Amino acid sequence: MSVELWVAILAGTLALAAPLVFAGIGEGFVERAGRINLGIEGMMIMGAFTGVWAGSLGGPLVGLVAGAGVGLVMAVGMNLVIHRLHANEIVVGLAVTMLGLGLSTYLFQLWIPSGETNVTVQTVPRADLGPLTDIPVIGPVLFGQSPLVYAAAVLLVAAWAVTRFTRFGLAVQAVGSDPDAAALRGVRVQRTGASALLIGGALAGLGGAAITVGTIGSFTPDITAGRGYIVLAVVIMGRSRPVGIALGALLFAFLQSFALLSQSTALTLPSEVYQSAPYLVTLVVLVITSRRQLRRLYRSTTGRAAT
Amino acid sequence: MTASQEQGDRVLEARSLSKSFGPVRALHDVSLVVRPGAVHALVGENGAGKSTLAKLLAGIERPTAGSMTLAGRPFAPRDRAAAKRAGINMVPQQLSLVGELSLVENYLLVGPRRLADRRSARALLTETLERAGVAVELDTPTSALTQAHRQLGEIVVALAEGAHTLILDEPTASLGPLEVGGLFAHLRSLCALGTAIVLITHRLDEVRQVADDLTVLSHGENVHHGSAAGLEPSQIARLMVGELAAAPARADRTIGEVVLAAEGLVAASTRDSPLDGVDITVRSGEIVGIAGVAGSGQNLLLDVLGGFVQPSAGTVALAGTAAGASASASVFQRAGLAWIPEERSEAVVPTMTLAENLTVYSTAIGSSSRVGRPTASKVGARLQAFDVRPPRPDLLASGLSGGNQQKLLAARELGSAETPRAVLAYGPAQGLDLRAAQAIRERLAALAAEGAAVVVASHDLDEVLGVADRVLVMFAGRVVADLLIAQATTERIGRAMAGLTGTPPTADPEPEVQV
Repeated sequence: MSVELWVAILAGTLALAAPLVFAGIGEGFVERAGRINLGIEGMMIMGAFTGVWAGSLGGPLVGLVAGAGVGLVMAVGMNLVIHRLHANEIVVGLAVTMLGLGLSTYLFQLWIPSGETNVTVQTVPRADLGPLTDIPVIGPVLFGQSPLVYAAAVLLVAAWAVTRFTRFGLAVQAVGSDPDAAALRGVRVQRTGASALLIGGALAGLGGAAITVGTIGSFTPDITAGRGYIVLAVVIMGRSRPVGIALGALLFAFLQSFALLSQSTALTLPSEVYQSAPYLVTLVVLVITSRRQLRRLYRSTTGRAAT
Repeated sequence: MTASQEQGDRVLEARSLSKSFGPVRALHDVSLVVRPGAVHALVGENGAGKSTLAKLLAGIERPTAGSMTLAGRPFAPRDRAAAKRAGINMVPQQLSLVGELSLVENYLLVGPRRLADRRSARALLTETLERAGVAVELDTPTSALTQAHRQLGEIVVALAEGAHTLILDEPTASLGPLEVGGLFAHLRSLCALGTAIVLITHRLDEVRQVADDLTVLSHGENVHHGSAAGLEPSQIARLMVGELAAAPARADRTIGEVVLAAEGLVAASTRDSPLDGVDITVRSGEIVGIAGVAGSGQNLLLDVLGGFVQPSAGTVALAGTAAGASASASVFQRAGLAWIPEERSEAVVPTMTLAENLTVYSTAIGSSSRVGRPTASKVGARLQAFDVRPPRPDLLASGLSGGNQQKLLAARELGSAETPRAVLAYGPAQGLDLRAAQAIRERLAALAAEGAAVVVASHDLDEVLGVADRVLVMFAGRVVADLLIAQATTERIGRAMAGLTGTPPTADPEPEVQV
């Protein structure tokens, strides 16, 4: 394969990883707080739709903010249903995903009835980094990216700093690892979990908007194509740590980028193999990391609970 | 303002406190005075109202009648945070340190600032450590600290949060004798600095060791309030429970064939010292006690003997199971192994009813499928036999107090119709009052008389000596002494627990005896 192809694959990797990183960082907070948001897929697709719709009215930045906003609103609703109405977190999460997939399609049909030309909005403009872009290989891969890629990198550092240097970050770890002790210590367990869920919702919505407003410029039903579930897998792989989440997101995005370009290049294997590779590899890595985590869990709990 | 004036300002006084939970009267007309610079022991049976009184002082519960004053001013904390701000802090029995976080981080977890300033927190805690004369690792996750250090850490965090009155809820329950001595030394030096300490305890000898003042509660009422000086443990016990039947004489039991035998056990665990070549044989009708400082490997040994942890070398054989078959917990339990772990949370399911808890494991491993569910009256009788309060089969186990959960566990493991072949129990009487603890000892002795092989491990030496025929002492994952009860003097065991296996000071030519 030529150098140009590799450059394209690697540049595509970073672009495809950004939405996963946004949503993954959010879900990382949720899972460290000992909860899980299975509504990510629904929040991402609603973010993707709202981003395009709002973007068509006020430009890409408005689109991104609106995407994050709709994710936040969905998370607020989810939290209310779980804590005020005492519904099961897993069931509510799945319901939110189904609601998001259905509602986004319905609203899209209302906005653009079938037969009419799909609306394409302006995407986030590339940052012009001048001469840096001209460095061979590194230039186009690292410096020719959408600002969203750099925003994702900044978010990673910010998430690490929040975890390490703020009371909220400590509280999230505390309620996730030992809610009883945390409550005795005086941490408001439910409120901390809710805050994490709201952050997770807003970032999932932003991640969805980043797919449409960031690169594609238009919305089609089911455009997220299960990325919300991939985010869940990536967070488990990365043990909810920012660096781990980033690595997981890059792995998936690399394989996906490879698959996309394999369609335009003559390769030995049928393209279906490359299409399914991201999901297969994610599955395998997930099994390996879960086994390791299970073994650690098993070691820390002996006695009857383990039989 | 001089130090003594300052101290005089901080007297915490409770007048005629009462607390009812619905129709249940937990506390009735109790008064006490907590003086700065003194240790105030609070003793009583399970359910006597000690924890309730502590919760009222710490602002966790509010009294239904009565009042409190702090430094002469009315004191009615709205919640625990308010009491903390006033300088009254409680160290709960189930410690409130988050295991994944270090002491510094635990301290930072609550407070006014949003940013976690590790450096200044660390400086404050270091200063507090020095003031209290304690050395505890500040930056490792607290789950990696020993129980004794976690306890001290919790106290240090409370002091750093500005506590001048500390309420310690049974701090010695999970400590070995040496660690208890260390804790008491620290408590005395804190008192010297003017801290007031309320010490809730079951162990009456501790009152004599460390307490200045004493409050004895019985059935929610104050039966003694005043100086602790000159009171013997037996007198305090009489105040608590009235006359207590004398401990039963050790009945002669027929020692039969070997039931449980393990050879050359080597095993590792994150929670305990690794086992380093342990041999143990337990015969039918025999009660073997395992003593040792907490974390000497007793816990892991019981896990291995019970089949919950596979040893990396060595064998475990239980009579009635196929020789050479892999020793797994479910196989052992089908063969009649009763099991009381140190952490009752590993064996009691809080979200199940008392009736379900009595059958959960035998159902799960399929040994009682043919027996079917026991009737409610049978369950009720069994709960009553072990004095589980309240003995309601349909109550969720989470509704029981800690002591009653322990009784429930005993009712399940020691109260079934068939005599177990072997019993492995770690601290079977932990958290129980004198009467209930004695009932458990009697039950273990009765099972041994019926032919069970019984192993009782504990870091509470009295619990082991009170019941065992033979005592093994563990130190750093090895059995360092094997003594018949007649030879097991406290001094000898104490030396072995500290790892001093040389010639004991008492002139005995053969200190280690095999049965």
